[in-house]
Amino acid sequence: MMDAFIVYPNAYTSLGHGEHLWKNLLQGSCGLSSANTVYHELFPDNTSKIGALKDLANNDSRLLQILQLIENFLIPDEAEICQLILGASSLGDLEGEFAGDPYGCITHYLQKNKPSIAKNFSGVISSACSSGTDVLSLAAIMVHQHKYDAIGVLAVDCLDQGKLLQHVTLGTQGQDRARPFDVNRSGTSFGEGGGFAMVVNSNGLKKLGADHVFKIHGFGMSCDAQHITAPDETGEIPALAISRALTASGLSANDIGYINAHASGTPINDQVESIALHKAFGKTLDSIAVNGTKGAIGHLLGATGLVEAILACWSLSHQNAPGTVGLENKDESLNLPVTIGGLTKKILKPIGLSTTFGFGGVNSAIVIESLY
Amino acid sequence: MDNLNCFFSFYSIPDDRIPVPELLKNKDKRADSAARVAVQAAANALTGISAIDLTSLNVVVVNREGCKDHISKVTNGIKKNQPAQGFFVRGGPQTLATYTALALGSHGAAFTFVGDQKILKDAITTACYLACNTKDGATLLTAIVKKNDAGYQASTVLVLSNNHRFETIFSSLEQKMHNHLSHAFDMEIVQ
Repeated sequence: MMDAFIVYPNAYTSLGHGEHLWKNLLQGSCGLSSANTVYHELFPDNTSKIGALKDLANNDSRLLQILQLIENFLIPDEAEICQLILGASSLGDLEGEFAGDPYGCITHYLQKNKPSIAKNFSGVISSACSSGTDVLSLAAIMVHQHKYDAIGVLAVDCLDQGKLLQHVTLGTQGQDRARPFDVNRSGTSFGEGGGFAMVVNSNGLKKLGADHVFKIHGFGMSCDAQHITAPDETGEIPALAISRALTASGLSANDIGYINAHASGTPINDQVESIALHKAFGKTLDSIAVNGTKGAIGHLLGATGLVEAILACWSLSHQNAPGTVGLENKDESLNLPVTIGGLTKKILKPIGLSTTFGFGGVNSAIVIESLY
Repeated sequence: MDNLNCFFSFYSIPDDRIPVPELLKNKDKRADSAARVAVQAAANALTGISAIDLTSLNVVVVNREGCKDHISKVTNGIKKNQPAQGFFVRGGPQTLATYTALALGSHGAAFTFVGDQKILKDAITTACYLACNTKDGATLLTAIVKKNDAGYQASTVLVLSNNHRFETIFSSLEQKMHNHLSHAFDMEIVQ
């Protein structure tokens, strides 16, 4: 069992942040907007939905603007005690000074705006869409090993127009919107934003008066290693990440009450995730509340893992899973107990799982419990 | 230190003309030069080592710059509204780890720490934990540095566990690993 806890989790998305974000999710609201209203010049006729943040300029580093936008909302004063700051991102900007260099961008931002914690920033975890989940897990390792008592994890990513162009061409951006596990799903809705949390051990916890504490029981990672662009269609290797997370936690499938699924809404990824969940949970899956949030906030790229783990924390503490916005007609062939958009589902056990599956075949799962 | 075995290796190439590594030839030939270095360094590190369970081999890479060649192609393409195929899977720093895993056929963790020498100690902690907390676990930890815009050097530590729970690594071994990985940052390329 790991000596690792999450405190002060918060996320900033196109649907808001903090309590406002949580209420919007419960109400089944959607923060997505049409691509042509955000990037009119490049996509004048594209009405597919994206989770872009409002009022960002197109002629400056989008990642830097997002960092500046979220800093006052996400990073609490308590972060001053963090002995290490770890970032998570995928590619960040694709143009300009920080093209493909989120490490450089976050370093620049922290030195300019948060010098007191900039000195403890050491690097960025990069594992594509799993980056945000992995940064939580790696921070858990380090506090568990008592290398540090408190670590701040900051996951952030942006959707500039060049990146959207890539995804539209690739076919991963859905034709209309993310419809996770829906029979009419056609791709995801990419988005942007960020999340921040502190990961502490028992010593770190004693120094803080956190109102809500979430225990990290364990995590699991795997890599398909079969094709650089296509996922493992058998679901065997993604299932390995989930079963490793349960084993590392010393828990069984019966202990899990909630799953925040990756639920990207692409035809193949949802199918593979469904197979992996069935392999890892068997018949127990029927009794678990399952949802996905990309239909409400978008797929936040390298930040998605941390943001969704944070939303999982909130769901567990409220014992309530928001519905899966965008899901209207369940794909019955997937046979998942996933909650339809606009509804909510009571979570019966305080322990949950958050999964992410990234490009390059990286799979990650983390087990979290709401303590108080 | 009886619960960890470490094997050290070093790889360098003096220019950017890096051939597709043999292990990738039948899988994907479009890896960025930095990713090719990662794969070649891994292949060299595992030469002569047979007792590794690829199901649980973790690949961890430390690198500062990522796949700059590929990012440049993507950025230049965007200026002409031309998308680049597989821009994520071939362009992100994670590629250094995922291409290595693809080449080796390993199914443990695969991720990249983006940073400089400052992050090495955290990478070492992570690598050892991952090796020791999976059955028959092992981690291939590689630091890759591009030197003076021409050529690369890579220091690799293969960490093998003897199926003991990892509590703490002795400072002497940690220091030895750190010194070896730092070579990638410090040493000049031998022509």
